[in-house]
Amino acid sequence: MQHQQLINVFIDSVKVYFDHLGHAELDIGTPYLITNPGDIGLDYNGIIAVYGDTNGSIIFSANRSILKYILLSLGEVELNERSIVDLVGEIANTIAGNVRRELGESFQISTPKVTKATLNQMCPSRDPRSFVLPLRWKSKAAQLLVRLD
Amino acid sequence: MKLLIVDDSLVVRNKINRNLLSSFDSILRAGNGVDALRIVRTEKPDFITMDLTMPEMDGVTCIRKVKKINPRTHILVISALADKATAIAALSLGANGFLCKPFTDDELNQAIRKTLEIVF
Repeated sequence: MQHQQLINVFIDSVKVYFDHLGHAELDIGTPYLITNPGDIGLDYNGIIAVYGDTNGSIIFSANRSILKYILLSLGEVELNERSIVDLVGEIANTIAGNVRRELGESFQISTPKVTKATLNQMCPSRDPRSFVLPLRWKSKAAQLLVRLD
Repeated sequence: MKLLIVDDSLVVRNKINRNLLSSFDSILRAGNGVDALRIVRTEKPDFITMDLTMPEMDGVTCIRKVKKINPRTHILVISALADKATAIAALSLGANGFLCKPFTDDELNQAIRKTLEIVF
């Protein structure tokens, strides 16, 4: 699969997630390669390891404010740390799982891990297969980071 | 009817619970396959919503074991794994329906209804 096709698969998967929330349009910015790992990653990172035919990771990264809005859209009443951590992992899991519609069952994924730490070591700089999708929903920023071999 | 919700996400368990409160007499919850099996043995739920990607024990293994304990338990798989092969594998193990995440309230209610129609 060509790099642009791969990016489109992830764009579609992110769109499906936010379309199901309703309430607001999702703005997807221009995807860019990771040139400086220090510039990426927000407060909470839901990380999915990818293995099988392809290895790497998929990370949904977001600030607390957008995650709270998403919880509200889901009808959640407990907007605490536990729900926020759980949500960021579940979003990463859903986006990663949905790309199997196009990439097939050999695109195997782990259960989510959530970190609030820096992503520097996870995303080597100038890796041509790593890219970031900048996202904006209800004027709040999030990112999808994809790093595949 | 007694429902068991099996999903490693608290937020998803809550969402399903809120949606189906009025449709079932009681609702139980488990965060992984191991806890789910313990509840299946003791509480004998009639209907299970089952995630597939979970820690401790995945949903596919859990479906297989649930069906050995009680083949009459109805299972709706609710998973982000959107490929056809996964859905076919789950159904061939004895699951009665498959709903892909993310889902709306209407899609969940429709999937539950459809699964029950197939069973009865």
